[in-house]
Amino acid sequence: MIDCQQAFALLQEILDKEASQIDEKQVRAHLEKCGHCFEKFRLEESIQAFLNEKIKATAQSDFKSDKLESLRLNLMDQLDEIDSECSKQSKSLFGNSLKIFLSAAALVLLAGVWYVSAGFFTHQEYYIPLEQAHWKASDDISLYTENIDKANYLGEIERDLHYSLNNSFADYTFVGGKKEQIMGADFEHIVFSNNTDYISIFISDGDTIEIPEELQSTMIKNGNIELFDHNCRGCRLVFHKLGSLLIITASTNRDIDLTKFIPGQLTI
Amino acid sequence: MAEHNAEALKKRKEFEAQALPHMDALYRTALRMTKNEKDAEDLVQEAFVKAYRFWDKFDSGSNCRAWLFKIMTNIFINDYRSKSRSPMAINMDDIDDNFLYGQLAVGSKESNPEKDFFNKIFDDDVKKAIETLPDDFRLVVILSFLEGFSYQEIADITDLQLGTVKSRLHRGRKLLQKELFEYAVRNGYVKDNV
Ligand SMILES: [Zn+2]
Repeated sequence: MIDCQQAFALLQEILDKEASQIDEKQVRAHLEKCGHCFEKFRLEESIQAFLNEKIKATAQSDFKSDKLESLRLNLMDQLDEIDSECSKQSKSLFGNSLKIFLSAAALVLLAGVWYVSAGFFTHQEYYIPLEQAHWKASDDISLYTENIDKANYLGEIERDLHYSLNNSFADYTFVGGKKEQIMGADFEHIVFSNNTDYISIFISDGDTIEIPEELQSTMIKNGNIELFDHNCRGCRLVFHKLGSLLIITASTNRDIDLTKFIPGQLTI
Repeated sequence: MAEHNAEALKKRKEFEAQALPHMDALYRTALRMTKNEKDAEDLVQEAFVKAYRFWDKFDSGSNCRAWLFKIMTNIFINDYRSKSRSPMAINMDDIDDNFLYGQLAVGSKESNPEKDFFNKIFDDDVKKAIETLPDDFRLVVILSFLEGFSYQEIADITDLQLGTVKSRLHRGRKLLQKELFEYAVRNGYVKDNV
């Protein structure tokens, strides 16, 4: 038998039709006995049914079928274009674009995710996985703070990458981190926070991945370190090399000057 | 070359048969995601073009609709959602889990106290309430309420953890209820019990 609190904990799953049969049965049994929960569940289910119905109705009324038809025709034109592009490209692909082709193929293999990796290697597909990793941290920091012993973690980075990371920098403090595979390269993804914003620091040994060439023109110097600034669509990314390491800092808050954010140094 | 053309033709046929029927669902969701027709059209176009380029990556045994939504959602998240993101900005503490229940049930002797409330909410109010939800919440709410995707499917589509999907859906639902109730109060349809 479950009590009111346990029943309430299952409310959301019941509303979303995600509760297991056993859970659902137990909740229904409780509702038969408990007038308070019965009324609460009845009301919530009634509101949910109302919302679902209204949301579908408004989506339907907004829908213009002539718009859809013109969208479809437009798309057909674009597909025709792609089809003719493809038949032209199939010959030239192995010429001067062999390198691009190979890196794309490697990315397809390594990324293992069918939609991120393209048949064509574009700049966008280099930056987006970094942005997404950063967003993941700011959406749910517990993924990066759980299961790590902070002191130990910093020690490991120093040992493995010969990079000594400060515990804090400016008003940002080290909060957590973990290893991540991004675009087929191994990164140490370290997160700093000032309780409002997050800064991600991605460190790779630099063997697999390089600073994109197109960023050359964005070079800024901080001391003798050369940084490459990229204001991406979803966050700001700053790249620099330290010895053989590739270090990328990221933040959604564009006001943070990441070109000044150098939170560690090489130990050799 | 003839072989190549036959191959291309087959791909095109397959794509038209399997992917295109989902265009209406993608468009209706795109309208709610982007909140305007022009962006919705562009988003759907981009999603289908990308899907076509990647068609050979699509596992024909899997769910084409979810795959298309994943592509579209990815483009939306990267290119369309509000550029200034502040996921921490919404204060959720002031939303009581029992908010609407408390408002509607208190002091009511009726057996269905919500009936009156429902009668006063128009389609357009619901549309506006959805549009006021922050992007991250609106996205999972639409995928669940409008498209009927499961938690797991939403997690796959959005690349979020299952727990994050659940909590956003929970918060999205509460925000939506609160918004609608406040709308009803503002317009004098319902008395505020607080
Ligand atoms: Zn109870």
